[in-house]
Amino acid sequence: MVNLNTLSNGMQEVYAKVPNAKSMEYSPIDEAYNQVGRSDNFGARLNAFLRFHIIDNLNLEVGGNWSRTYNTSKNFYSADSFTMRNAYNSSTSIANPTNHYIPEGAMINESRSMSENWTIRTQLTYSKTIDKNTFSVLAGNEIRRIFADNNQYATRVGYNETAGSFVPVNILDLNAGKMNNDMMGGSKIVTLSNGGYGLRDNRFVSWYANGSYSYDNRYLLSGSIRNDQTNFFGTNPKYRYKPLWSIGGTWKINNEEFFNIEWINRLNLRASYGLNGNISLTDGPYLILSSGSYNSETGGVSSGVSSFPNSSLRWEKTKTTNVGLDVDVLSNRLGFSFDYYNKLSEDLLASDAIDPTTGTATMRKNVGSIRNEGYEIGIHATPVQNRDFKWDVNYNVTMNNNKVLSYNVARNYVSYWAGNMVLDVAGYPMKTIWGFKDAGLDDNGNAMIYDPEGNKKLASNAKLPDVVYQGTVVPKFDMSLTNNLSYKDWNLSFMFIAKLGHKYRKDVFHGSNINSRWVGQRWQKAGDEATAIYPRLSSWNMDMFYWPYTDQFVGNASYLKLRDVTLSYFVPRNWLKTVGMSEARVFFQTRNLFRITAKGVDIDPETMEVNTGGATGPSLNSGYAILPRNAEFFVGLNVSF
Amino acid sequence: MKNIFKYIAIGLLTVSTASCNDFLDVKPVGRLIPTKVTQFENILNNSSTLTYFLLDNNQNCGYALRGDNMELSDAHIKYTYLPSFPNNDMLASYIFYKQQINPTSTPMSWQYGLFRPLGMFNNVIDGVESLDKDSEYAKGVIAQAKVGRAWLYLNGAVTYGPMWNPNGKNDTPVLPIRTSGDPTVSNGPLATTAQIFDLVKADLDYACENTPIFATNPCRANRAAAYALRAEYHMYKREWKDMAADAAKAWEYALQAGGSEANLFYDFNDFYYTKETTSNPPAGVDPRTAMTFKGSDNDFALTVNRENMLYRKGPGQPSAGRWYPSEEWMALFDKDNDMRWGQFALMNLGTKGKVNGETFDDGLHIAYYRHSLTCNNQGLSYPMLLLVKAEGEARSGNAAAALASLNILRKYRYKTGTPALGGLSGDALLEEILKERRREQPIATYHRVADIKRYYYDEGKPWRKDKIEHKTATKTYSQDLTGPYFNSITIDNVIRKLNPQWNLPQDEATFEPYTAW
Repeated sequence: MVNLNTLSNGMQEVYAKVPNAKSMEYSPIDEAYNQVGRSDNFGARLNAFLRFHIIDNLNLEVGGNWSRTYNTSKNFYSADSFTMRNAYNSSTSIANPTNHYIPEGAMINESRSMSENWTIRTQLTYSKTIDKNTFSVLAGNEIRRIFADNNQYATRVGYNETAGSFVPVNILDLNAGKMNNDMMGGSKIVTLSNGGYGLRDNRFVSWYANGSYSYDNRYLLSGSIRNDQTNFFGTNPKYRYKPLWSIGGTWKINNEEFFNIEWINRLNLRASYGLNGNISLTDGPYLILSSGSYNSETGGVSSGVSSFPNSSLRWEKTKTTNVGLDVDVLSNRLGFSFDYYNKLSEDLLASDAIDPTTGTATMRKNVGSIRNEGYEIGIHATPVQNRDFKWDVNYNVTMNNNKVLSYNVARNYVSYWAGNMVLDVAGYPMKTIWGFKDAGLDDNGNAMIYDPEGNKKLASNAKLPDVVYQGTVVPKFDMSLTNNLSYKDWNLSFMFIAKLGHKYRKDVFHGSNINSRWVGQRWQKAGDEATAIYPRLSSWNMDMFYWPYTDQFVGNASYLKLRDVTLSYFVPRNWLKTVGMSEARVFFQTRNLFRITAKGVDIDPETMEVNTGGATGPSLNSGYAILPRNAEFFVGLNVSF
Repeated sequence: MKNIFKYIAIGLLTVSTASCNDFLDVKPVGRLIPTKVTQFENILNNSSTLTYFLLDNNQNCGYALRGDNMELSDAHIKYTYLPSFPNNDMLASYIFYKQQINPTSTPMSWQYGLFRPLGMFNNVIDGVESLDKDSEYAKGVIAQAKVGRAWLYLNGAVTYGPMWNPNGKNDTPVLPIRTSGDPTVSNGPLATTAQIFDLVKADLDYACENTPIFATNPCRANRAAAYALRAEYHMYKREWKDMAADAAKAWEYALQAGGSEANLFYDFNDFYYTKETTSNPPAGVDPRTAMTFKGSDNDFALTVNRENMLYRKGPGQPSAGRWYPSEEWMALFDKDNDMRWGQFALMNLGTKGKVNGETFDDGLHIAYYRHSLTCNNQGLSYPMLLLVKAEGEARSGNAAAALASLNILRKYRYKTGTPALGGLSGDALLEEILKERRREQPIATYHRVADIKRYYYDEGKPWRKDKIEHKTATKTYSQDLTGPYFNSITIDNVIRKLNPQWNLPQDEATFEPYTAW
């Protein structure tokens, strides 16, 4: 690797005057070896349970688990690293060039952390069978604590790893930039940490009970209830309760006397209903401050408002109904299962935009409800089964239909609709994307859109009525197909997956992101607007907030992938006996070998579809520059003794 | 052995089924439900309390382009302020376009420059008052928050609304008054200039009594700042004796806080540039633009710059690509002796480039580097306090004191050996003080526009203007001081919609100042 020279002529002249100046040559490979991270973990875990038989069929189980983990980690920049050479030179005092604010030597950032978790669980179980009646009840409680105490030490510079010495520096003033005017390079180059603490003490108490009743192995009724409490809301018990419950039943039809179809091995009809709940863990009826760190601009520890007092929040509730049917036939060689689910989520918690004149632009509210319903069908089959060869097939498909029933959040700005995000909007599916109708470029290379009347206008003049619905990023269909073939000691399995019926946003050149692959196809001179897709180049422009969200850049995200193929060889057991092994398997696995996507799609939709949080900026591909999943190959050996 | 297990089981059973309240009553760590004054006090150390007042996100003050300190060239208008330029309110201000801002977006300056810091100050006041109203320490924290609130409302009133009219009712609705930290408290009607001034006065009366004499950092007020701000309140209300009295008191506390006069100023003669390389800038460009700026200490670029009394972040970098200093502003300076000019007004390249196939080049232009090389404070400073004091003294008939105040500052601003001013009185003295004020103010902030507005009531005086004209090589744009650009800042459509009680109609027109030149 050729060493690269990183300095302008002017800076070379400056550093030439520094006694003992360091070389400013840069070699990426050397640099990688000169920056080392090391992490040491030590953990202990203890599990213990005592079970007492109290009276017939009544048992008490008491116990829990405890774990503690220590971690120390060090990040080390050697004295020879480019970073430290650069810092040494740049921080040379102009007044006294023998003084370097970042001294000769290495830099080390060290932290230690301790986490401790424990759970105590008490549980009573009772079961009894009387004639054809079987009862079973379980009730218990659980106390849990998650505790962490982390300490990041202040950065040390001038570190000598042989002697264990370092040079104390005034990090407070260096971070405030007090010495920058006396530094030849104008800055200290390196980031110095003041140090900091990370603390956590989350506590939970849960009560729960499950019960089931079975009659004659034909009818099964079950129910559960659970209550969770946490310390997130300090002293007000009103905000602690989190009730969850469910009830269900199964009818095993093939155990009925009237049922005498021999080739049906299993025929179950199932139904359940349950309620789940959540309360916001970030807001409460009190003012909550974010505990900040030292702010060198204001010269003190800075706090902010994490959330304002909010006593209007209700539980977010999800009611789930499930009905299912299981059928196994032909000595279980062929099976079929069908499920219908209907989830109704109400009082959803989300941030709502409020009038920023009130001091904050967002507030968490109970904003709406979403219905999610669908079918899941599973088929399993064993087409071939004999002494040496077995072929199993599993196919699953989920069809999901969801609709936002109500969602009362204010989206008063165009940017609250069109952006690198997904939205829930009443009357539409969940997680939708929104944007504009593309109208090409004007004769100065500015991006244009259509207004609702079909008139062209500059994208930078977009208004709320110009925003249109562009689709959802949630697949309508989700499928998997697994084949498993065994022949004597060999096994081959492969799985296809597919997701269909959803959208993604394409990467674009929006005028300022010169790293875009489309930059060469931009508008450059009058007349280009007839053929060019992408707007003119400028160092900063407002089109980037509108243009990437036009409908021409919405693509079909459907795909099918060969998720994995695994070929295994099981070493014959009689060979293994001689070396004391019980099982040994050699396997070769490959993942993501190929994919099929919609026409014109040259990216991996699987990685694009999850990216919904990127910012917009001049150097970003609108936040969508995501690499595809690479093909992976593994060779492995599993042994058991 | 069996008994031991039984005892363990009974013990654990007792623990796990006993009341859990004590266990859960521990507050979660990492976040804080404040219960002590110090916890509220730390909100005052948040940078959000001091940014974006009348600034956009690229840190320009579009409002400043309504005044006469800055000018645009034809090239700026034609090639910088294009449809896709993010801050076209700057252009709108300069050409007095029919709409002051883009009505479809809420400016950074409304949300982050005014009401977010107000919300923080209000939370400090509410929170501390709920815990402790009596101790000197608690009152000091409340007072610092009240100075922060008063600074925003005083400057907000004279920019978002008309200037205080000494002969009028001052009943124009301007801004909502928010004094609660709770965002669920709805906005009332827009408060009038008079109502806002009443709030400012009440806050500052409390603050002058209770603000600590020393502050840890200029981001938070000391007592001098409280008095200096009340002096500015009187300045806007044209209560000259009160202005002079509060400024004098502020000066007294400033000397106490600083220890000595010299600790409150940089002598601009002490600044210098060092040449570290042989690189030379293009012909005609001041070589100092490629040199390192140095001073008598290393704090001058930081918030702890010794001249800062109350730091509020202002615009920094001069941008030849966006504006130039106006001829009128440059003509204010004694170019041979005024070290503000000598040290910071440097010849550099004007805007040049190629847009849409057309090449443009404005040649050489002066750029003013004072507020990028030193701290870019648009809050209160000790030098400005002296000029407020001088103005108050001059306007209340104490010419000798006014001249003395002016000459203190001149010692630190003019070339060593420049004689003190003498023999001035009456309007001549006042005019010199006001010129010094304009030279000392940041060039590209709201300050000059607010001054133009208040001088409107100095009828017959040479520094009064009744209209502002902006010129380019080919065009002149003009607006009377009675026009909307000098009596309001438009509130955008979304804020209007969220506050129907203000009865402000929606502005449906498209904001296209780039089509109007």
